[in-house]
Amino acid sequence: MRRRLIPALVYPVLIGIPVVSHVPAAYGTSAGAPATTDGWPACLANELPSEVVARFSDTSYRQLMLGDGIAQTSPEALYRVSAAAASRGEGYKALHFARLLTRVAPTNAAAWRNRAILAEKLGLADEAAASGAKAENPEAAPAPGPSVLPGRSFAVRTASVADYSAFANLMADDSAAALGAPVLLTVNDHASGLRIPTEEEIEQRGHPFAQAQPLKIIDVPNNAVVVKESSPMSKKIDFASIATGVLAVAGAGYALDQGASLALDTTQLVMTLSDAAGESFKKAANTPSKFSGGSVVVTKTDDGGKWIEEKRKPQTTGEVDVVGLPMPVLWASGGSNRGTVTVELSYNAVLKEDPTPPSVLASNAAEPARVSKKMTDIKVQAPRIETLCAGSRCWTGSANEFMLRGEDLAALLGDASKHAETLAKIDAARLEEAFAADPGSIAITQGRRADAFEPIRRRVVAFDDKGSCYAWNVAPDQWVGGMPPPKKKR
Amino acid sequence: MRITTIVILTAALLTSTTGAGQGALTPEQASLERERRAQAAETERQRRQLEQEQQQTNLMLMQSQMAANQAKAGAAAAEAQWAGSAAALGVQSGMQGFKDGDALLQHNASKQLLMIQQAAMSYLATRRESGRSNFGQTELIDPFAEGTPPGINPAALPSCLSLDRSLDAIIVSAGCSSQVCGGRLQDGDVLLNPDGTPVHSNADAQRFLEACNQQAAGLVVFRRSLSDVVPVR
Repeated sequence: MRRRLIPALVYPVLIGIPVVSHVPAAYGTSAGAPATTDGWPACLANELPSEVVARFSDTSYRQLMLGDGIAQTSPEALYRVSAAAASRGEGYKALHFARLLTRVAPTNAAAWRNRAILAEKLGLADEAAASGAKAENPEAAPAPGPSVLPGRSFAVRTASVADYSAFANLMADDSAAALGAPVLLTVNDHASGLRIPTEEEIEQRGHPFAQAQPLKIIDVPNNAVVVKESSPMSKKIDFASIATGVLAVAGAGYALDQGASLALDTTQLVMTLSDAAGESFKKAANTPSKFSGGSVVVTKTDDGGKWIEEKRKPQTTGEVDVVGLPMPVLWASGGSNRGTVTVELSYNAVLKEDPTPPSVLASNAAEPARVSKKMTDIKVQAPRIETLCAGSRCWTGSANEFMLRGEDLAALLGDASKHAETLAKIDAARLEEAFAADPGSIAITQGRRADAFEPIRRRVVAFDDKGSCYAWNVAPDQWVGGMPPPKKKR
Repeated sequence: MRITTIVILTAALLTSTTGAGQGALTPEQASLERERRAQAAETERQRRQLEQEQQQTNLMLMQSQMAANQAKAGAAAAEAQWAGSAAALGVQSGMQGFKDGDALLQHNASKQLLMIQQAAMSYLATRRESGRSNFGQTELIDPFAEGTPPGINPAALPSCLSLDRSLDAIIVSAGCSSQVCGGRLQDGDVLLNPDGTPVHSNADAQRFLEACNQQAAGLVVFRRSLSDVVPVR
């Protein structure tokens, strides 16, 4: 299965092809997608890194790192982790644990007071005021509403990767609470910058283009939005028409290949060619993007806290380059105590004329279906597992794995040597060192490779309620959409 | 034969230089000439069409650039967008391609350039800066430690009041007696509720001060020592 994915990572035109494991009936799960970490289909092990699979094979570890295990610990332990985080300047992590504490000890006024202090320092005035009122009257005062919401401007930056992971947990909880259901959050892939090439690079490539910079985790808090509806892009020009154009040009006395064709002077081409093939080539040269259409409706809060909707369209920038794609932020989605987030896979990629091998979508049939048309409405469960990268090195895990340190485990579990040993295998300390040296060096997408036509997008793995597994890179013509939140919670 | 050749060449020369004497052309020559002129006209028409398209594209480029500049409002941001302060906007290097606008506009893939401008505008329209301030180190109250009244936040007490953990109560801070309750209290006095119980929340401490400062607002009691509860009217 993994071997089948390799071409998709190597060859530009194949990037983003979903890879699906055929799941024998014995591996299939019962009907109804599991909402917790239990019940994952076995085929998921083929799509996740082996070390991740090994870590999560321990049920109690998985419950702690990808479930509600933290909330099951003692109130005193939750306070200790919160206080330790606060003393290190990790405000979001301290608040996350302060919230857990007020949840399990709702009549403890000092716990509410701590939460008020932390929220105040983070600029969450509404949560601070409500928590302060609870501190004065824990039993009668109303509980604070959700405050860490997409669209809000967070002035306090995350102090570490652990702090960022806690922030993602906070936003996952509050978005779900505010909208009445677990939702998918995304960030535009160019939220951390747009690279515009030099004139020399344009000459070398033959046409202008733009690239999204790797998406930094420090840009997630202020750029996250909830996905409400999404429609992926479509391929605009198939290879067959381009090939026809190239042949016609060659017949007219030009020695061209497909790679060089777009470097031709467009005016020269247009003035020379008047036949149909020339016209198709003119179109190809003038509008070289292979993708068109596509939109995503997002919702977020405005400055006044009101939910607003916004329709966004990805922008084509060159032959295969697109920017403005919605990149899922799974850690910030679904609710922090959930193992997975429910998303809708929108697939609009494969044309019959496409010379790339048709990809396979989920199927439990003996012969997996070959996709030749637009497919949407495929609901899948994506484990809340992400990959962070610093330079060329990447780390994969859950938000809790990057949020907790060994000493936190000791505080939460007492004798936690077993889990601490497992957690240490992630080597998150190296990631924290990279963050400390340069917070902008940690990214959740790797961006464009220097020698590739297609940027490396965000890889997502998921499974459906029939037990079939999916793995794909978010690409212009396929991405994940959120399940629409209930309208009543506006 | 030689004379005939000279005549024909002369006629052809006259035709080509003056345009007159078309009637002297053979039908084949006339057909070729018509075809040549038609091609020239078509080429000219395409050239003009291209020029128009180029002008329209340039106009769109200018309009989009103006819109982007206006959208950014601040002159500094607008200048940064197209004039090289790319790093401030997260746009990395390569801006000379846009700085030298003429060079790029001369690039015949102007529609692609427009795409990039639109991409840049979408980037500018949707992107928000990340937070920059630090949280700083913060000390929390231990909700489970002995002697910590659960409802008191020492950091949020009114000035000149403090938490005495040994007494489990709020007291008048040292050196502050003249600034509290019209100078009627002393350093170390314990604030009490009207029912005689120690004040155990920030809100009750605030109410105590308000009543005490207004003097006539009602009974205020405080404890000067373990056995001495002093009512103040």
